[in-house]
Amino acid sequence: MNKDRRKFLRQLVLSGGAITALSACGGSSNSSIPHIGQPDSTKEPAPNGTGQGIDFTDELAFLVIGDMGTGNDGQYKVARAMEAVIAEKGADFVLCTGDNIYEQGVSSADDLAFLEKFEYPYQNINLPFYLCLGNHDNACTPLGGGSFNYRGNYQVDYHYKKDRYSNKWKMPARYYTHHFGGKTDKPFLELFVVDSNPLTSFYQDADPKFSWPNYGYPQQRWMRKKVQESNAHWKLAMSHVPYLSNGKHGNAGNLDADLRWLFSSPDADGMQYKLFIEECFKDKVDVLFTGHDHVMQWLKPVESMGKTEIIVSGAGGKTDKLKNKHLNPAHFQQENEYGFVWVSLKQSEMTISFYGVNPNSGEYHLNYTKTQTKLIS
Amino acid sequence: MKRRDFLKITAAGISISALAACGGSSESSNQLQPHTKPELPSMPSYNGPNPFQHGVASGDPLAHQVIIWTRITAPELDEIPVILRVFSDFDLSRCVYEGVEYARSQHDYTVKFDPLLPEANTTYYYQFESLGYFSPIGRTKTIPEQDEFIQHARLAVLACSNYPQGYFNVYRKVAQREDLDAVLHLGDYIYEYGQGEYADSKLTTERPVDPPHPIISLTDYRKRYALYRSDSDLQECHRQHPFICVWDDHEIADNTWKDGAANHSTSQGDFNERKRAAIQAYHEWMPIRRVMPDNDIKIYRSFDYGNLFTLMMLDTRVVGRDEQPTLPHEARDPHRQLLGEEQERWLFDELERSDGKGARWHILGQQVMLAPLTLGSLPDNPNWHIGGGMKINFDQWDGYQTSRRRLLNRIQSMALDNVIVLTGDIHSSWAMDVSLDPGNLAVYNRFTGEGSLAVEFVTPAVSSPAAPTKGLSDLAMAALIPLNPHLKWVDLFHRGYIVLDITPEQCKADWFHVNTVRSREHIEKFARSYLTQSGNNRLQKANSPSSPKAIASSLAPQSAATKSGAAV
Repeated sequence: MNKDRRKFLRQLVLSGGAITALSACGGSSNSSIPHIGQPDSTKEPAPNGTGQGIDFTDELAFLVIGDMGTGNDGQYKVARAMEAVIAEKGADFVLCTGDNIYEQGVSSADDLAFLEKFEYPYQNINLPFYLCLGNHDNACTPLGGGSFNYRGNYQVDYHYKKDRYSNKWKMPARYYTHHFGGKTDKPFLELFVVDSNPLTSFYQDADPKFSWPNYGYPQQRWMRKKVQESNAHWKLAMSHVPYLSNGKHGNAGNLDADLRWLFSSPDADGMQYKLFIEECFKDKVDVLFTGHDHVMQWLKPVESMGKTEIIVSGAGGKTDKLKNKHLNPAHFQQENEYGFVWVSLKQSEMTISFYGVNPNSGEYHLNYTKTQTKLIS
Repeated sequence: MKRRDFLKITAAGISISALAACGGSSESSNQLQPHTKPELPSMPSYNGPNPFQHGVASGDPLAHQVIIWTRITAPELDEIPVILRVFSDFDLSRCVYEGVEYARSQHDYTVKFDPLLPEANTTYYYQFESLGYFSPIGRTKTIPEQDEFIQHARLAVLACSNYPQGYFNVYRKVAQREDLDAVLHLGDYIYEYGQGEYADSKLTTERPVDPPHPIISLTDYRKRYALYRSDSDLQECHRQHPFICVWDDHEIADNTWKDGAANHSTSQGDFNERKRAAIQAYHEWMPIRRVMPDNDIKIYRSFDYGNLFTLMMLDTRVVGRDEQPTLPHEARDPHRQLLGEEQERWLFDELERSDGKGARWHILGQQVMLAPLTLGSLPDNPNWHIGGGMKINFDQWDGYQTSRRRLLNRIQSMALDNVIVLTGDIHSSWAMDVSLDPGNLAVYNRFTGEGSLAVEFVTPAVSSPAAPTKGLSDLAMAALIPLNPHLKWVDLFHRGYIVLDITPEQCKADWFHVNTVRSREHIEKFARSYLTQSGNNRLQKANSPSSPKAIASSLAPQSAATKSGAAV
């Protein structure tokens, strides 16, 4: 990545103008209104998000972290490792696969947890962080049941907060898309961010606004249309709940197989969510990034998702062991240590590198890297 | 230029020769270049009897196309020219299509045309000519344009016609109805058993099966279809109405699933070979249009009846079904499929398309009961893998509970109103609300129907048997209705059919039952009627059958002459 271009992009993203452009991708600019998904489809989105003004980008790099918002030592260790990798290899932004603020999200846009669990740990990383909501972001108990979705709205509000600590937190809506670079009519990259929590929560939200008919399926319809309409060169999807995982939560369609007896929502198995992901993203996005399981995995493509790559990055602040290493064949999987992913996108190839961070020493190391040609055109 | 536009132009003023050139055969039906009327072929020498032994048939109507079928019986001849003429009038004076096809041994001498026809939502009459003979005159009807405003449509719904179990009185009664737009046959059109097996013992000499052994090979299946199509009541029904058909299990073997069947043993050879043979014969003998030219197994397809309804015909049997479970917990296995992933995706896309285009009703024509059949219903708890009542028939959707949940979840998530499920297979008449959890008072109210997502109408058999007496049927109804809160009515005794009457305001099912199938007799009685009002998604009882449609084209006349007098 050309450093000047990267700097330019970064400046653009961090500028006030970027917020307007971002909000046009799905968020509302009125921070006093709770942001339930896509606010007003009648508003014509700005043509090109942050990519506006950039004539052409043929290279981008970014990090993917997830399940990171503990505010504990582990999150800081990962942040230090991220800083080192960014200094060494460069990056334009960071993706966060959810559970941004443990254990039960925030109570308002002024909640100090934004500082303790996001701003302070990442204060030396001057990149925009694009975040999606996890179950703990929509909970009001440590169990993370995901049935208090109004709390997730405060994380959207923080995106629009005027006097916030930094301008890094990017969550213009509960679900949204965002363009990166490229000509107006063909961005280099488009990111599709899913709000998976109301679709799979352990307990149903008492607020009918978040039911499948009122929220889940409208989101699915919107997302499918956005993906179909996108002519971005690279397309990436990000969600919290995994489509496939060898970790504790397992595969969509049979999520939390051994824990579900504790749950009351009939959608906790992720059966509808599985179809959401397949119908929106199969063979249409290059990579699906998820979190939720506190492990790192690059799973081999499966027929039901076509050539779309499936990556789990959920060890940005917590660690766990893999529950069943053989449930899904994997290129790479890592347990019991922190980690993050570094991705480089070029015109016709992508490089994906998995970094591990030792929970005790904080030392980081490259665990796995692979470059492959672009499979989805 | 769209085909429809082209046809509008040609229909308006260009001679039939242009039209004829549009569709002489299924192969040429996509060629839209007008050319001159095809020369009629010279017929081979033939001195045998009338070669149209198996009648005529039509099916899979579109706005400007309909499959038209016949078979030539002329031993020792092959590659026999068959001329089809389609007329816009009862008197066969205004010809709108003329084309030639060839009856060939590799297709068991069956012939299918897929002519392009000028007008949508229009009755046509047709007649074949071959070897110096005219066929019986057939009657068919195109469906409305995709977005046409339609006030009223009427379908007959049939299933389960077992030849040795009885006379096809039901087919005759349906044939006599002038005002049907089409006939849906939901499968079990033939049965695979040998002589005396699954048959009425009092009819063994009157209705013997051919071949006399269980059908396994391609020759066997072809002979069995030929036997059924020799039945005059069935011939008459095909002659008068376009059919829209899907197979059920007995078109292959009892309780078929994608890789096997209950009534198939290894001593009968490879199941896949048997399945291939059965499917080939099905396509040869049934007036069905191939969905894909090289994929005979895929028959799920949809029809747009203007903006009134979309008809989605499903295959819950062959293309994607996993084997029936034997234990209740297997029925909850999330990995087991009834439709298969591809068909399920197609169905969900079709529901979205139908909803998006503004169709009033979304009708699923399929084989096995969607709503549960239980001996006592308790709330279902998918997370605990218990509840939902004790299921008694795992060959139905009850054996594929996650497949059912996916479908009902989708209907609920889409907030999709006006889904109608039409079902066959079970030889009995049922009217049911369809709820995600009918045994759960918090989800479904049996008294008001609140919580119902759709309604299901189950059509009785044409001739296949169910309860041996009416008394047993009444007893079963008295037991089943309290145990199944969503069940409004069931009759396990009578054979018959449903007339589905569809308007923008309501969709109504009238059950008609025939007196007997032990003798050829044409007495029927109105049995029951349930309707669902638009937007209600629940049943309500109606007291009388729907009135006949205001306008209906005359039934096809009996042919005056069978000899064409043409050079032979």
